[in-house]
Amino acid sequence: MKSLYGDLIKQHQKNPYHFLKKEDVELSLRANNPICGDRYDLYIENEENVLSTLHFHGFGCALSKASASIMVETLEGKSYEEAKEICQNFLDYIHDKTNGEVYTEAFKAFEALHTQTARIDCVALTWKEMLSFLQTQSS
Amino acid sequence: MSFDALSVKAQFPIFHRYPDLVYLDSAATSQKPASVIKVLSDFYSFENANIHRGVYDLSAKATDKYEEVREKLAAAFNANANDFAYCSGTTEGINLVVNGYLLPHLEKGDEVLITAMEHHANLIPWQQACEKKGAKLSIIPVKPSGEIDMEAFENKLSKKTKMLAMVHISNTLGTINPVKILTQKAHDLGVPVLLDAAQSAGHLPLDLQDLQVDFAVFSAHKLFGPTGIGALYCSENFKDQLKASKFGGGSIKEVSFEKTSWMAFPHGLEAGTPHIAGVVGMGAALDFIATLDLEESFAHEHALVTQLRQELDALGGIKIFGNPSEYAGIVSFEVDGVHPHDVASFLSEADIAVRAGHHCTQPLLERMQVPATTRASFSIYNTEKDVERLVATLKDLKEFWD
Repeated sequence: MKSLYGDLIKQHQKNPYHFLKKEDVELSLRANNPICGDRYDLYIENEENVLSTLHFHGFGCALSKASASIMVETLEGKSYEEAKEICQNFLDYIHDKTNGEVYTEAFKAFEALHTQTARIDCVALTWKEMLSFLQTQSS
Repeated sequence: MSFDALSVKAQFPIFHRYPDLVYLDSAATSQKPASVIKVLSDFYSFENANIHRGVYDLSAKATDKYEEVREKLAAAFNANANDFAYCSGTTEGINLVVNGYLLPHLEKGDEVLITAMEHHANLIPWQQACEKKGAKLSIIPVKPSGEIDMEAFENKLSKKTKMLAMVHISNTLGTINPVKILTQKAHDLGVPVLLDAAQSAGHLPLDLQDLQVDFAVFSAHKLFGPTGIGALYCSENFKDQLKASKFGGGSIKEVSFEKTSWMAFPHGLEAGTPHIAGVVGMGAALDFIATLDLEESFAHEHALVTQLRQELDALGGIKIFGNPSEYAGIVSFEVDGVHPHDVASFLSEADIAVRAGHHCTQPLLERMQVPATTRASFSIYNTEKDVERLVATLKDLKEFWD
């Protein structure tokens, strides 16, 4: 069985990308899983429908944290439209619906979810929040 | 004389299918022995019919089988057959008492007393009833040891108390509560007592006459039986006061468009076609339990969890929640710096099944200032090897996350 805890996930869990409470940023999203208590805030600095700088902060399991870190790193600098497609690709990939096609190799760190579905909610948490925000933004 | 866990384990087909499985989640649901599965399958294959008033043979036999299980409950828990109503499980049993007994008796300013270690099922129904009637839900605190604060209990118990509801064995901490003492003190003030026996029935000798509680509830699926069925025990004194709160066919004496009269306890509470196969399966589970010596099997579970508690302590970097003097085969812990869900996933990769989360005791965990724990819970089919595998894998996990 392929492990859920590969090197990339461990790396991001220990040294998450842009893991900082940015209370001065006006636009923030809260991703919250009431069942397990995982909770992250996503801080979005945007310019003309581009996610110019992203930060996140909060607490939860290694998978939710590493997944949020990879998301922040991947989406930073992307336009809303691009980001929407990337989020969709990630969520489809973890549900094994893309025939293995990934926007970036980093997503493959979550390949084990294809057979170990119990943790999909942890990994999808911040991505779903981001995607639903992007879907409310008309281009 | 000594308990033979391996020969017990051999009776559970799931361990033949998954020989490497270390199942430490019996507090959530127990595995099922072949005898119970066979009885369920035989019932649907060869004995199926609806009960009561079917004049034909199959129906009469199904009715007999359904009713017989009350005798088995009586024998297992030292009570009378007609003291038990069937219900879907612990949760429904508590709701039947809240709606059928408490609500009609509860008034503004009254109190309901529960402990801080209750499962949500033994908290929310009382809380909602109190809210509806302007009564107060009063909470007996739990000490850091995981034991009930007896002094606080005595202070909170009063003539205003209309019910004391408590768990026998905490599903999170493993604590065995001194039910008899609390019940005695409640009865001294005329306060009725409900016991949540979900974690104790089938694990230790449960003597309802000795404990003297007025109501008791449990689920069959935690004692080797099927899901969706359980029983509500009601002592003789309260049978007339426990009214039907779920209405339908099969539970009535007489019906007109103007009014209805109900059958006496227990049948008055069993409206609708019941879970007949479930009841029969629960009977098979009680037969299975009757083949065990519960003193011995409890000693076995206790020895395993004691070994685990000691080894977790020795491992370091692991916090165990509660160290009560009386405990059953349940322990909750936290691995420093590793989220319980990651602990559970890591263990799952090594074929070890534990539970991670708040175990439906969120207020208790809040008081312990932890959002979630990892819980290992034992049953008769667990062995020392299971404890060793768990401890060794936790050691690996600590190295992995270092």
